[in-house]
Amino acid sequence: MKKQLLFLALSLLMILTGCRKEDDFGGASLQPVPFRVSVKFDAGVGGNPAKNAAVSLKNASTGDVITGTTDDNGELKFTAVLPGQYTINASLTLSQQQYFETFGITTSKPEVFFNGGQENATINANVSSTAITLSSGTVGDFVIKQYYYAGSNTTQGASFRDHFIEIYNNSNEVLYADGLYIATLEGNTNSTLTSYTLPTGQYDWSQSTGNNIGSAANTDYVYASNIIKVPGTGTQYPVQPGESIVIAQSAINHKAPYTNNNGVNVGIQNPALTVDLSTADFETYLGDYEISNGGTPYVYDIQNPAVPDMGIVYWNGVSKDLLLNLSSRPALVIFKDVTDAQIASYAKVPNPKDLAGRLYMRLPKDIIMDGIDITNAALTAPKDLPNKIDAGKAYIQDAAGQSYADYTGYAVIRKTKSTIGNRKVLEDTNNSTNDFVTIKAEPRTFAP
Amino acid sequence: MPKIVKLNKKILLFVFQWVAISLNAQTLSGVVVDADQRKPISGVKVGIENTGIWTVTDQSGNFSIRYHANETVLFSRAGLLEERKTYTTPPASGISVEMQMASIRIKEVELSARKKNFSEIEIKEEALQKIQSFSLGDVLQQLPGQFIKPMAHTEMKNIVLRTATGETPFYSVPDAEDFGNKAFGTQLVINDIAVSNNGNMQQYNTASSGPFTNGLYGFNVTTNNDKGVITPALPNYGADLRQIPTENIEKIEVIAGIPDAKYGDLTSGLIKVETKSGKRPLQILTSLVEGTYQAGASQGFQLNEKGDALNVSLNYMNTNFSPRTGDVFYKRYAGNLLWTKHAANGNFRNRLGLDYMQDLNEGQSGEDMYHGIYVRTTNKQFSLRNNMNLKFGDAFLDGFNANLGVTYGDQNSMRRMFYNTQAKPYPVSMTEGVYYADYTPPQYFEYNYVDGNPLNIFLDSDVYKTIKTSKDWIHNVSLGINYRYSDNFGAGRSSNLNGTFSTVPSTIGNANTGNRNYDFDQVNSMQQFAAYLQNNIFKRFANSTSLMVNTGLRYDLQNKYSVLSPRVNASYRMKNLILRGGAGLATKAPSLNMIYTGPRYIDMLLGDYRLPGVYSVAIAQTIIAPANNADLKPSKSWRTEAGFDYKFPFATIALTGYRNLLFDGFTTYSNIIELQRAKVEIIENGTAQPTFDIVGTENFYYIQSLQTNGLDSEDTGLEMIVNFKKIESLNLNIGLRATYVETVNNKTVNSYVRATENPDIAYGVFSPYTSTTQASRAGINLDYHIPDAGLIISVSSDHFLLDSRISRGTQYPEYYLDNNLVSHAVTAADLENNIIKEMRRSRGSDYYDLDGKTFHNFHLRVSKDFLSGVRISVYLNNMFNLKAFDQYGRQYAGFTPMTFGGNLSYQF
Repeated sequence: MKKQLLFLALSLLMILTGCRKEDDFGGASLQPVPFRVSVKFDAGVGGNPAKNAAVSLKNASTGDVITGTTDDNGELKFTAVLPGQYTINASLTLSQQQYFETFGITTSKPEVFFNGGQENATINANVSSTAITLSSGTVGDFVIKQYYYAGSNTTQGASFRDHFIEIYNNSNEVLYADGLYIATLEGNTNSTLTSYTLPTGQYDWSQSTGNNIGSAANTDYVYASNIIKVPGTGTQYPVQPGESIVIAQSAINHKAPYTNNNGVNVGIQNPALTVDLSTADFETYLGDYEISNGGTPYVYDIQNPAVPDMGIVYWNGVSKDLLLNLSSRPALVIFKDVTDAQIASYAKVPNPKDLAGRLYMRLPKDIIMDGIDITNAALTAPKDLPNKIDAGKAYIQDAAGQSYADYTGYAVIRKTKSTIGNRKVLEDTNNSTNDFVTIKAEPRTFAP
Repeated sequence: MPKIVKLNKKILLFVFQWVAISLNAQTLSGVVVDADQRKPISGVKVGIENTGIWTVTDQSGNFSIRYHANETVLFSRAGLLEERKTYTTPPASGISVEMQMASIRIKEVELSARKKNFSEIEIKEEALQKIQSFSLGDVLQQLPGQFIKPMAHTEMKNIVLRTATGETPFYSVPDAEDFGNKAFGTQLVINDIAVSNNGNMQQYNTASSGPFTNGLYGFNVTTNNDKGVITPALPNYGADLRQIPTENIEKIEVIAGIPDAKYGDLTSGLIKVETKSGKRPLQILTSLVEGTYQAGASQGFQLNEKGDALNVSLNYMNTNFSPRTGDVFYKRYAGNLLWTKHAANGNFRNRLGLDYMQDLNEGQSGEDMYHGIYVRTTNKQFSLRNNMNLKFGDAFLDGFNANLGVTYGDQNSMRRMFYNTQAKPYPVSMTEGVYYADYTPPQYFEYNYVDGNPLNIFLDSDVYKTIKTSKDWIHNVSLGINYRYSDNFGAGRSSNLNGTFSTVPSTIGNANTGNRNYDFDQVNSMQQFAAYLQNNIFKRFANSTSLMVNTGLRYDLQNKYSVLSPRVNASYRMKNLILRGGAGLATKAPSLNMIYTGPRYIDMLLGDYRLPGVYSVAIAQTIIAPANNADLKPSKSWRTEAGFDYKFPFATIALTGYRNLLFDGFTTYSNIIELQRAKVEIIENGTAQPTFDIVGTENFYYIQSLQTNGLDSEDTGLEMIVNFKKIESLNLNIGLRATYVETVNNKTVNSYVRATENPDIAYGVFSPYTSTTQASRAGINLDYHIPDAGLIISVSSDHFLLDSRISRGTQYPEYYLDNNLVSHAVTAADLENNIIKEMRRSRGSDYYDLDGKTFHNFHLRVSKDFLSGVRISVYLNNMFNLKAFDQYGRQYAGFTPMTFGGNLSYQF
């Protein structure tokens, strides 16, 4: 008996003395760890370390942000970072002069924006460093200006029928919209990690049937559910600098969607809830496409003969109209300078979650001029786009950063950076978190 | 037809053979007095059991009646315990009979439902209080095979007897048609006058839906939050038992077996209710359970010394499904007047009743007016009932009864829903042709109304004679006629846009059966004629054995079909054993709502051309298919039963086996019709409205949903009631009831599935599903009764012993029809190819059972009667707060949750 008591006392002592401050007791007393971020340019511009890059680490659970700037070796050393999951972003803006000095290459752009980052990055005692690659987006002059995916009140507004996309000529010369492609991308609906996802929560597209290209499947390509195209001969639809084109799901005045036979437009209960898209430049009418494929037109898909239809390049049928508030929160990309024949040659693969399901078109990321990644109200829908195209995510939110729900009539719109004469130049740092703000959707308006 | 006449003649001849035989009667006279105060009681009915002979005591309580030795005299009056007397030699000086008030202070008071001569069950006196009841529907839960159900006062209440699909709620698949037919075929009779639901037409989409399927336009609601359900009194089912308060009910008799030939327009059972009449003290009652309460008062005023009386009762009930959200409720107001008049000589009695009932169902399924459905239905009903009983003294016939009932209703149903349509073509032409269709507003409230004014008239009259043969066979012969009239004078179905959004074709090329305004002026009346002959034969043998045979023959003419229904019930009584059995045919006429559907409008959308800001042009075609289901036959049921009652020293056991075959039941079938769809050519005119030319027609098949007699259902079962002898030392009464029933449903009409992939095939043809459902229930009552203290404590239980259901059906069609509607058998090779696969149904055979699980529920009631006249009853259903989940983890339907209720009554 005595022996047993002695043993008990001893083991208690051992437990007490054996405990050291550094031991991890399930996060009860997290000890900060040192962390190092190495930032370099992508291989396209030489792959050298990037100095003076702004780096931010955002803690996923606390929301705390730590920032810093890289040194001459492209490194930033934090001495004490709380272990956890982080979103790491790095960005660098080079002027025309700096760009030439850094790479020995001339550019026509007054400024070039480099972005890089990592979602769901783990920092703890075992992971003490990460490497971020900075890349600059394809230089294009059309940018996505407004993305209205929320829709308006389901009973008194126009519900999901008033979605639209606005694309802006951010350059100082006339551009032609003819042949501009717009694609909505497929992605996971939430960030829960499963066998078919990457650590970021996004689909691991390398698991898709017929997509045997290794990790490039996730880094070099995006996957489109629908691709539409501006019609025209090449010079039919000029867009003046500082002007935009509006692509509507249905180009009607949703505030008064019905014209009776006396030519009177009949309004809805609360017209202020929705938008007038009767002056849209293009609309997405799928009735003819559905009929030619043995289907029936969607009941709410109204054909306005006065507004040209977008061409249907690829439509995988996930929706019967240009619905933008799908649960996958489709990222939007625009591209040009490829032919329909080239697009037709791209591989079509199922998403890895549903290998027997619909097929998505694999687009090389290098063709993309601009893109915007969005997420849902719970902010759980992961990024569909590589950092090179959009290093952040945009979503409709109030001034305090709280996300709005769908059917609230809000849209995300690109910030105005400066005004040259009458022409507004929009912010384009290839990071939609920085570039976009929330407004009440309204075609051809500007951010406040 | 000549055959029937011949048969009738034969029976008449047979009846009149006894007329010449002289009768050897004595006179029994006496006085009836109150047991406590020894005061004479007037208005007591004095009748000879098993004969039609009766009289009524006069103002001094005196009576005299023709009497034969060993006959049983029955003394009955509302509110008093029944007395029976038998004499070998009736005392010449007259007899004195004491009668007692039926109260729980009397030990003889009946505590539970009791089986009578055959298999009929009587609920009276204290048994009416056994279950806390707000309506007739609740009281009947003590019948064999029934159980205490969750309080669902916002839903219509019907009862089905002796079937395994009894728990199917309204409109639910898969056995709704079976339930519906049997609920419709259960006849409710109040004071000898049928309560009919035949004239109820409160259904919006009758032209395109089945009798027991809801379709899209039901006036019923299920709320989003707490699943509160509103089901107002529906047509095609039985009368809504929820509309009948219980406080003025004297007794209920339920005949689940074979009713006498007097009773018609039923297939599946008879519920006879007698209301209170005669002098009664003022009684005030309130009851409360969860969100439901009721308050009522009743009194019987004696009008004169003869015992003429006026009974008055008033009742108000209010139920709120969920007091927290308050979005589903039901209110009922009821008032009854009953004037009873006797002739001084006891040869005439008349009861005139006036009833008024008004109820309201209201509910909203969504969080506000823009979300979900809002329903409001009101029902006002005025009834007049008159029962006249006349005796002829020494005439050739003994007497004459006439019962007349007139019920007029005002039923208004409204359904509101908000639509956000962005404007949609709305082809609702009232005439055939190709036309420019209107559009809906972009957003609007759609209102659907049905305004009905049903009128039901019931007339039943008979003459009767009691004949005693020289060998002491007593024949109670009656010959009667029965007339029923149903019509509806309401404004009918209407909608603010003369149609319904959900039934207009949604896309170009589509066809759909639409809804239109329909005035019930276009509804003709439905009349039923019937004549019946009933002979109830009684013979007492030596050794206290007796034989009772009730034979009847009824001729019905219902919706132009005539049926002759023979019925027989027999019981042979020995010392401790009664053997009994019966068989009979019964028929139920279709309802007005089944017959008069109104024209069927088939709408097709041919084109929709819009230039926003300039014009909107829709081109549509409407074809009108024939209206109504004029050829519906009555549904019929062959009912047979056999059983015995055995009296042990400690208990009486009654066992009944039965087999009921319902055929020609009401159901829906697919009718393929060939339509000529117009081919139109559109002429565009720039910014002017486009016009069209009809350039021809094309054949087009369309499936209509029509109503027919195509359901067979077979119920086979066993029913046992055991009443143990009262254990005097413990003041304990024990009763047990147990049932087993198997129901086999067989629809006799095929169904069609449209083929879409192969242009050479039009439709796949499927045989109907058949189903076999089995159920077994049991219940035990323990009633602890102390008459001196006026106290009853009772525990009752419901046991769910078996629930299983097999549905058999094929997933692939057995035949297919080509474009000329020529039928081709599906071969093994066809099953391999995709053309047949495409027509695969999602449901094949399926099976559900409790996998050996049984559920048990226990209920407690305490009633205490205070000498001051106050009576308090407390009801605790599911006293152990048990929860029942089946093996799939689903809550077991019908298992009542713990509910606590109380009644408080005061009798002056």
